[in-house]
Amino acid sequence: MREESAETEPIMTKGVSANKKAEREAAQAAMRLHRKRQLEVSRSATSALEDARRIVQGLRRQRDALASHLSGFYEEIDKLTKGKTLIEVTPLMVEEANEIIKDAKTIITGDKHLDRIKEFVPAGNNPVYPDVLIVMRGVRDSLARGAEELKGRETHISGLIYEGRTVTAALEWYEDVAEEDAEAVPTLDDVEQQLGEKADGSWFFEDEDGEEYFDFEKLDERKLEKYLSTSLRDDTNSAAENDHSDPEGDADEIRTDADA
Amino acid sequence: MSDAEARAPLIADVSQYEVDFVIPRVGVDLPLGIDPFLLFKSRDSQYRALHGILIAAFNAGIRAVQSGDTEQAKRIFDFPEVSAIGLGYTKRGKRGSGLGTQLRTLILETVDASPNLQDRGVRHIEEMQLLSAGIGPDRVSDIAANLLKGFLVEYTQKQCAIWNLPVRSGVPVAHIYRPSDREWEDTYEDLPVSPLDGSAILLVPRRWVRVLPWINYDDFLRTEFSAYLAAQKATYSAWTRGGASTASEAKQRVVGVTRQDIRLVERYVKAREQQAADARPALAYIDDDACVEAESLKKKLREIPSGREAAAEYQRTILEILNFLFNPELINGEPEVRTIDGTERRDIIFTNDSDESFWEYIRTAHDGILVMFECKNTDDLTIEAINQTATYLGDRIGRLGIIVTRQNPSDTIVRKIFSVWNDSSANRKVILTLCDAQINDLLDLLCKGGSPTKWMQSHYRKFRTSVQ
Repeated sequence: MREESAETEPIMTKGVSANKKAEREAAQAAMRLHRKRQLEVSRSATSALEDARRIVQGLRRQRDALASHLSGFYEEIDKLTKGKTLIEVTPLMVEEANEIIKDAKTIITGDKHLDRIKEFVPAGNNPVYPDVLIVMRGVRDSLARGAEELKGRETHISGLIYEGRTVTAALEWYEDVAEEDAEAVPTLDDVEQQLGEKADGSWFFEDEDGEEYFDFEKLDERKLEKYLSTSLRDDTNSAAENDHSDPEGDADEIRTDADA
Repeated sequence: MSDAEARAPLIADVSQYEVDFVIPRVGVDLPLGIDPFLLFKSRDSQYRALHGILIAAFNAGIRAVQSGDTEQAKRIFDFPEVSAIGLGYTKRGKRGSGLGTQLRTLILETVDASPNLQDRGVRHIEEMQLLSAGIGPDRVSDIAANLLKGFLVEYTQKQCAIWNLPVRSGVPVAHIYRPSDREWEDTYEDLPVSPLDGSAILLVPRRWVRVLPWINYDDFLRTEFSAYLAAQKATYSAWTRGGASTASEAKQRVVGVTRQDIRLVERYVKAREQQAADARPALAYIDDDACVEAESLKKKLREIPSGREAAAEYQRTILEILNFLFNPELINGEPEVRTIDGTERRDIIFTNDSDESFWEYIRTAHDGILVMFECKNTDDLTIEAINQTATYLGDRIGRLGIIVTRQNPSDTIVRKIFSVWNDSSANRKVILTLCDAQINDLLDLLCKGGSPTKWMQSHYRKFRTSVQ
């Protein structure tokens, strides 16, 4: 019996070691798969952000053109209003005013004051000059507010695109080396080389040796699809918030994948 | 007969405000006449067709004169006074001046003396006032009443049915024009009769009457003829001093000019046609107190319980109210009853013949001359009711429907009404609602001299801006 035991013990140790190796390889495979998915999400989200920025840039151009057009229209109406308190404007002016209101509503969204402004419904009688003037003033003010809002939106999206490109570059670098070293982490230099430009420093942490490494931990804590979206609210998503608000989210999934 | 008795309405229990027709008075003519121009300018194809009949008949008479067929001309130009309509300019008595034969002679003489008129014919029978010294506004109304009598008989019968007015069977009606062969015929009809002499009463739409026809001699003198004289560096007073001592003699001189130069008449008529939007039917003859009427209608409405049992009474009261508020802009209000899925639906269809900018807009923007008011005598308007109304709106009755109901609709119903608008993007359908409270506001507004049409315009605008 004892001999039998002496013979079987090394076999068991060997078996445990093999199991551990298999587990490690499985975990590495899961990590590679997880990063691959993150790369897909990052690429797609960055591309969507670029589309969104193009739209916002288009809106800014439209806003500028409309503001310039409205400025001229407002000036003329203002001149014509003097001494014409109760005179109806011409059908052309109503049409023009309604087009301006419609265009402004397309460009500027979420402005409650503009939302309250409605197109004129002549229904047989055109509005009088002062009414058109007041409404055009309201639209003009909303366009001015909208300029700031659109600028802020573009800046915000550009920032996200910068982050998205950095994350994508880091994941692309990882994809290149992952077969050899599933636990490899790119440095800032690696990512910038991959990116071909400066990377977003907020995605790197400094190690004890003074080298800056890409922060995969931060990446795993983020719900990337939401984080790299145009919604301003998502920008304030903290890791903690993610963890508490959605325990079934991506962060948990990462662990699940790795454990598997 | 006292003066008050003489002015009493011939039809009891109906207010002049509430009906589409002019209510004749006992023993006295209302100082009004049928103005054919109001038919000419009407958007109602039936009215325009009637104007066509007038002109075709008159021009047939002119052609008969031109071709020497005096007998035929005499047959056509036979326009005895139509006392049954109770309109005219005599101070007392319902018989007018009874100058039918004299009128025929005047017309024949005028046509005979005016080769230009024979060549051109007439565009409006009112032109005869400018070509004949003896033809005035009353004769224009007589000519129209004679040639339109067939329609007036049918119209009277329809109104009697709507308002449950008593009629007598087999009342003789003489001299009805038959356009097919240009002959006159006598018939017996079921019509209301005068309590004084048992003679037939013919009702005339309020939309047709004016104190003076739109095309009239006085206006012609002030405008076209003055311009003619000015071109000759003359004034009317100086010109008439050259031989006319009375107004009649002056008119004789004027028609001498117009018969020679019919272009004066043509230019004047063209100018009046261009001003057609200002040609409105008379309202001043309605001497009932609007505030008393408004209060009476409010009380009547208040006393009607909601529910299907009182639906017919509700519909009739709403018709009275709508006539009070909108006639003569919306005319010929007709109650209809439909049965859908066992549910009785009552609506009122009006013809929108208005010159008011809002109703003109509705006519153009919502594709139709008709406006439907659907009466729902309920406190709780249902989505099915909205769907039914939406189904009815379309090419036949236009795309504006107004549901008259007892209470303000719920938010769900308002959303449903919005969705009807949104779902009909190609040809937008608008459903407005009018509840008791709003009707009371409208009645008060009219009492204070306000415009119910302006109120409706604002109501419509609110809907259109809310749905944006």
